[in-house]
Amino acid sequence: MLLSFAIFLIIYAYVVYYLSRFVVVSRFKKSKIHLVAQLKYYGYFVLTFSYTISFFVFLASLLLHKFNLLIQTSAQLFAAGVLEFIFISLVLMCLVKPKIDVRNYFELNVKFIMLCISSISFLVTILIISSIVFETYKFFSIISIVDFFTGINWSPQDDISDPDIGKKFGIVPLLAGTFLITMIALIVATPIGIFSALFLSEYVGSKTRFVLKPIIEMLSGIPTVVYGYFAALYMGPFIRGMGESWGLNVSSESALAAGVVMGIMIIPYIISLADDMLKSIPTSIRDASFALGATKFETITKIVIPAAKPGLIGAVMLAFSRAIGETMIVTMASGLMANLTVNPLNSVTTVTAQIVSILTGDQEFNSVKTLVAFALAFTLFCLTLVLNLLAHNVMTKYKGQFR
Amino acid sequence: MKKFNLQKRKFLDLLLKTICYVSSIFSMLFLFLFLLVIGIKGFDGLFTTKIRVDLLIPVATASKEQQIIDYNDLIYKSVIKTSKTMINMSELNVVISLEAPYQVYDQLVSHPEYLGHEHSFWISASANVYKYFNTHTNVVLEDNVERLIKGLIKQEYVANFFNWQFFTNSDSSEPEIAGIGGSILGSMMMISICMGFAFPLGLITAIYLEEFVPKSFITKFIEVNINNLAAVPSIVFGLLGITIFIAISNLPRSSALVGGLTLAILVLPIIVSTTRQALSTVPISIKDAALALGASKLQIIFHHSLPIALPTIVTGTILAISRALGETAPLIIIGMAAFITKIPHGIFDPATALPVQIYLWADNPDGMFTEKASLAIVVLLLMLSVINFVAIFVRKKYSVNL
Repeated sequence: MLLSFAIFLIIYAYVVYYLSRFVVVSRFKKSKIHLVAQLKYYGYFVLTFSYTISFFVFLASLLLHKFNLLIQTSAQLFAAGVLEFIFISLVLMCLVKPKIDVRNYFELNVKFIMLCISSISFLVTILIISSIVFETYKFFSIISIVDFFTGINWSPQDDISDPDIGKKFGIVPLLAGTFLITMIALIVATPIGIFSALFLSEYVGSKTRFVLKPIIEMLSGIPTVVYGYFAALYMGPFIRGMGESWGLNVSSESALAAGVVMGIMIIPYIISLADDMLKSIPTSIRDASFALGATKFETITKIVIPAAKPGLIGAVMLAFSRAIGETMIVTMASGLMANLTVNPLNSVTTVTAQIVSILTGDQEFNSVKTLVAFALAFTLFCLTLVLNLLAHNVMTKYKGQFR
Repeated sequence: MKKFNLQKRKFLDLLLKTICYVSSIFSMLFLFLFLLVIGIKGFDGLFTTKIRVDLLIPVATASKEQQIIDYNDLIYKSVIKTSKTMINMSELNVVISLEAPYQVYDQLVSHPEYLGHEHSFWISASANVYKYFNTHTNVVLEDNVERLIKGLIKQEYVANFFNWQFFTNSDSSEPEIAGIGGSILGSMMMISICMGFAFPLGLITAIYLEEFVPKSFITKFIEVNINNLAAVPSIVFGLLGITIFIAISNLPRSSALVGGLTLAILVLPIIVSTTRQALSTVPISIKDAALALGASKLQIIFHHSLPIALPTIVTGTILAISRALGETAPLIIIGMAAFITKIPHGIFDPATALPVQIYLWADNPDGMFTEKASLAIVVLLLMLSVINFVAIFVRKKYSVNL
């Protein structure tokens, strides 16, 4: 039924377009008033206006159908739709005259349609935030917000009658685990990433750069599940084996394994961002430095890096926010036990891994245990939002420096 | 007077150069090493071991279930006859796949001329035989079973075949017949749904925001909102999908439709911001020239701005597709991580995506699945690199130099 209606609309659009052109031409022949727009615009005008108006009328009849007033069966709905479209287009065809400036009306209508469509995406963006905020609010009406952000015990459960339930939803061990893994990742990735970016922007000719840059961009698009697979199957056992050969007790789901692989993951990201920053420094100030007799080392350390410092910091911050929100590596390679520890050889858990483990089970949708996932996601959202805003502010402020 | 220590300066210069070279070699090495490890592992998954059985199959009259049982018996007898070793009927599944009689059935359906006289069939061997045949180690088998396999190998009734099934089959609990066909189809469905919604919506929103809306507080707010959503962790979108599409709209869980819509919300901000960027780089002189010739606002956009910006927009959209193709976390959240053995036939059927399939196989304790996961990763990376090359090609070939 839906398909046949769509086919009708498409065919009828052609009919309306050519019919209204014909109507306008015949009126012109009768009255000899010249057209004020191209002939096609008369067709577009009738077509878009009739379809827009009929669409809203059709929505109204859909509502009637929904509440079973007047239009009961879907056949009736189909008939109503067809009649509405035909009637409104006929009325408009009677109204259209050669002297109407149809191009402006047509454009107004297109603008209106565009407004309607883009308001859907505005709505979606607002919906995203409001739905999470709403669910988080529901969670905080059960568990107090202070307990949540200061509790050091994480063992979520569904039983609301338990008097100690507030003590079991403490986010601190999760945040500690997240920061531990992220810090390991940054320690691995930042030096390698920044030096590689220096290599790309300062030492390499434009031809090599032309080849390397797309490769790095491609590498930064490798899905994270691939890194997760690598971390779980190779890096975890490898680090465990290394630790055991040195007589250390290493968990097979150690924070170190997840952190190192996450570091490998953000290397291309840091390289590409930092390289953009370094490249945006004008060559003239480098040349000035060389002309004064400075070596490359002195130029880089005393001229380029100080100038690019805010940009580089911004790049690392963006990489940091990306590592915090990273899910697959930690889901696959780190544990689920919430340990409050700074030892990278222990198993820790992160915010994202907990969200996944909470929501993959068959839970009731409105239980406390499901709601806590929204509170975690909200925390994550705020954290990354603040980091991104800061990084963007730092970077945009600095970008105008040399213009 | 301070002495110029030229040697020290030269040394520092060399040092930095070395560090930069070493670190970039390191970073490339890391990445390529890790791709190489996965690639080598995936290569093993390309082949599957099959066993030859000679069966005399009478013209069938029984029901399908009965025929399957009969074929199982016939396979059992044939295997024992070739290897001249006795095993129990219950031990047969240590040697051949559970799917073997069905494979015989399928071959007979497509080739009815095999009925009535003896014909040799190649059927899937079990994971144990695969390991024993290819590595000869780490397989703990009963004595008589090991002798049976040895006998089959001696008769050259065991061989490796290219694993075509892997690319057509769907997931299965048996590693030897599990494949990625179903999940690739699921991914394709999701990508088409995602792009069908996100591309027109994103394009129109970006045009509206860039060309029509006067700068005001509300538009500034929406702009910041959209820009930030492009950088929000993808798992948050999974939570959105679970609230809006499953809890509120009651769409079927783990269907391709829900997955596609969730991905659409995920890529929408990316498409909006790339399109806006592309539109803002169109030179104002072109717009002014069109305006001077009497073009209206809409004509300027659709006849001049959009054609100039289109290569950049298409490149951005292709990269958004590659992002959506590799996305795993939101799909797991909305329940795509279910064990689905059927190939989906519509957008409301339960489906799974390629990256989710990799996640499921990597977590599977059965060792055989990790090879499958590696091969699936290789397939995924090949798909992504093809998409990326297309994007680079479009950018190089069609971009307008102004």
